[in-house]
Amino acid sequence: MLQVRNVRADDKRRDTLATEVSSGIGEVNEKLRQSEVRSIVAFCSNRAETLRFALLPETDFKKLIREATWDTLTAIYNLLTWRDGWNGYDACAPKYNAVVNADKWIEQLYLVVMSLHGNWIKPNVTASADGDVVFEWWHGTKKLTVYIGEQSAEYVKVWGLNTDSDMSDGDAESISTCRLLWLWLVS
Amino acid sequence: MDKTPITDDEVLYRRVPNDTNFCKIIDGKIEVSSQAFSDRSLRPSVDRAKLRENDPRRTQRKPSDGVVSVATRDVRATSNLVQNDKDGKPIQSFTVDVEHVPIFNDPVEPNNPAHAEIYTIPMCDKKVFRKLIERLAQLARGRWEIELLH
Repeated sequence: MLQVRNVRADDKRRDTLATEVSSGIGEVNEKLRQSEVRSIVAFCSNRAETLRFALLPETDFKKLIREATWDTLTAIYNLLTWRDGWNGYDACAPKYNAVVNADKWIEQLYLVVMSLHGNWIKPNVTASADGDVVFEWWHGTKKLTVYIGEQSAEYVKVWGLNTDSDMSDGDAESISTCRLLWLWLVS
Repeated sequence: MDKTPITDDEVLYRRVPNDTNFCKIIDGKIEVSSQAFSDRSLRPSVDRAKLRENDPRRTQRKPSDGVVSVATRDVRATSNLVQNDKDGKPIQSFTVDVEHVPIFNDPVEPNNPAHAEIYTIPMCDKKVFRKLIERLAQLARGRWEIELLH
């Protein structure tokens, strides 16, 4: 009985989150928001942390970031509607905690990109057969894949066909690594 | 049906279901996601084209499924698959092969005499497998036998 109740609670939680991100915003609005976030990040990076809250309430800042990444967040939470076998083979459904972790990670990356005065590139959002959330970016001859697990973030960089000399991998959890990965991707 | 050897010149089909975000159009080109080859047991399933009468529609489960192909020779040519230690030093190298694994009377899967699996020798870990599927996605690039509907 307890199991049934837990399953129902999980389903309800998934439905709520899927509904929460069910609408989108226009591309123009997105660019404006991106510009706004970039300005705030630049302003805050030159001042004491406390000034940030005097300038703009944290909740508003967070809302701005979420609006700017709305399409990606929608794609992330949409993964919760995928069930076992979603890839036509034996994949397990994307894990709830991986989805939540992916939401946090993409927000962190977005802030990193804004702090670099870069332009946000929307990732392709899908899942691995193990239920991790997977972000992918293609830029020229470069490809970046990031696997977000329940408690992990790992990357694979690809710049050619050779699996040894043209690919590398590692942890993608820290801000400094996110920064390096993005700089590599767009360089 | 007995297992038969797969020759280098054989084409292999991989089904790519719709609504999985397994492809993305970048600058007019369709990029294939590495996750199109993701597999929990680290042995991606493929169909031997010649045992499907070279008809990729026979690999589809649903009419909306896409199908990509790779050449067996290219898969086997994955010669630099290496597992490194935390300092980046190689500790194990792997070769890649494809074997015929026909499916009959499986409790879940439909019968499939063309079924084959891509695998590493020895069996690799998840990190190495992630590099392998990046290569498979690159090999499948531009080889849509049946394109996904956008």
